[in-house]
Amino acid sequence: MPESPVPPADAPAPDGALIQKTASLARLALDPSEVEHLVPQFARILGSFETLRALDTTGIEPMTRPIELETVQRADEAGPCLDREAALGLAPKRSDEFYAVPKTLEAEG
Amino acid sequence: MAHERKDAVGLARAIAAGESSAEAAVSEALERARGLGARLACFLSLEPDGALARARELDRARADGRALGPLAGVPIAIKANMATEGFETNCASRILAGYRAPYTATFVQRLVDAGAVPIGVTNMDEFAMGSSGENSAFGPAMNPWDETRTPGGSSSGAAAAVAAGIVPIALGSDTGGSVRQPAAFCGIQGFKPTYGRVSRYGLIAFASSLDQVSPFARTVRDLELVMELMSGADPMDSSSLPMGPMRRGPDTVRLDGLRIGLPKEYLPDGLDGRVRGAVEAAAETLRSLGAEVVEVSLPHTDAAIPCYYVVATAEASSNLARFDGVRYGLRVDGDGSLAGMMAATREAGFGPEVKRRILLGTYVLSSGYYDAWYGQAMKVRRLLRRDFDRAFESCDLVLGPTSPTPAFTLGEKTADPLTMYLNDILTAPASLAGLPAISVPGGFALENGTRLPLGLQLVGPPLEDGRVLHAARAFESATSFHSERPPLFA
Repeated sequence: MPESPVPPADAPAPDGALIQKTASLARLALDPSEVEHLVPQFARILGSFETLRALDTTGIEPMTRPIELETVQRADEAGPCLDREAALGLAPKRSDEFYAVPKTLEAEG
Repeated sequence: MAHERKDAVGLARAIAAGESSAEAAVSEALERARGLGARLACFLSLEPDGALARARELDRARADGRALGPLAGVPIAIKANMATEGFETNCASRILAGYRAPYTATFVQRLVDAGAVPIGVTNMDEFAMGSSGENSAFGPAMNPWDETRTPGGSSSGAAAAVAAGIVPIALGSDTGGSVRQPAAFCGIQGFKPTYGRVSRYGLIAFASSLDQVSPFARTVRDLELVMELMSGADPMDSSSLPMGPMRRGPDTVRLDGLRIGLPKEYLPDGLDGRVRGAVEAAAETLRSLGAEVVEVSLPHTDAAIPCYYVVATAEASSNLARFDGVRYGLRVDGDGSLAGMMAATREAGFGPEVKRRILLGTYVLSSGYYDAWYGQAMKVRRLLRRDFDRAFESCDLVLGPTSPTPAFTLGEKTADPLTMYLNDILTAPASLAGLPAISVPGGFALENGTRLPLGLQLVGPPLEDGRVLHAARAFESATSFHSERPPLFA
């Protein structure tokens, strides 16, 4: 893996467009007053996190988990699992034995 | 009899000896939960019918001469992010309001198998995101030492319930300090195990590489018992370590030969003098028990907060993607499209702090920013771990304050998220490094005439959970802070 580039010091300050774009990626329908509120908060939080970016991490391997673990595999045998009715019973909307969601494809013609 | 004055070990012994009954102990806990618990907003829901039925079953088992588990009849409380079949496991969020877990977490089941009786679900910061309990969608819990103050967070209700004598044991979860900091604010014991020591199966994930199920109690022996019962590999969690239950340390309360490291970075010049005084007094107490105190350095401590908030929010943004209005919880139709339904559901269901963290996490993982933020944070996380590895070359445990201050007032830090985040400065490092750490009662600070507890933290090397608890038990034996009760306890 190539070494991460040191982030540019002139990264653009967070603005409404950045918050909106991020909210869209995160599937959050923020209202305009929330966006307005979040812009200075993002700027302040990310600004205070600059100490992180200032550290020299040349040659340091990323630490993805606190304890290095071999992948643990168990026998490939069917065991007990959650009952279908118990799972579907929690759904806000169901159709027979399926979860129901709004249409994702428009009808033709 | 006054069950609330007994710890879990004492209560279980009294029940086993026939001096009390499980039904009496559970009834009394429920009564206190409805009275004092309601006043402090400790619980989001109680499960009296199931709890009393279970207690009577245990009493019958005893009467029939059947063997009882080591926690038989002991009432316990479960945090609202822990699956307990039939209990409302809503993570203190509107998006999961009414959600009743269809299965039971491994760690809850192990305690139930030992005879513990869950009586209800405790209040918390929504999805465990917060340091004061004020991010609960159902209103904040209060500190039994001063009801105008926070009990800490995110395991706010659990800590308050133990400190107020409602239950002797409550389960919390600690991601960046969510059990240690409330334990410190409430004057009780709170232990975060080595990452992987306790199965996370059934703990609703916030930040998977950090989350650990962590118990609260009023005595260290209770924590040791709970850890012996809960820890050990679980086939349902591939991140649980492939080893048996934790083994507790020696019975002696001497600490001869133990080296305690005091990191200079945990005692900066501007530190509250009362907090510094408590750490210095604790070092003296540990010396009197035979330990040697040495100075150590954890030079990257300042980077812990940004590192933690990048890693934790990145993981949270991914984990919380599952709450989309399809399989459980709230659904809001929005504009009628699938994406619109999901976005409208999440917008209506999540509170401001959860949204803020999902956005931060999405941002640090997004194309063009990943290396600069998340990639860098994972490298700094290794630096933080190396700091501890080096410190443990010259000491066996690290001692410091749990929190820079005693409990702050409700509302004091809600306006500025960053101020709230900084509260985790002393607990986040051990979380990032995956290390076992305890907060023990270590003194009191007088604030406007009110006595507020101070907590001290002991951190150990990986898998030395038993050593951390042993030192805490020795400290407990030489001090009386843990036996003081808030005025409301009476």
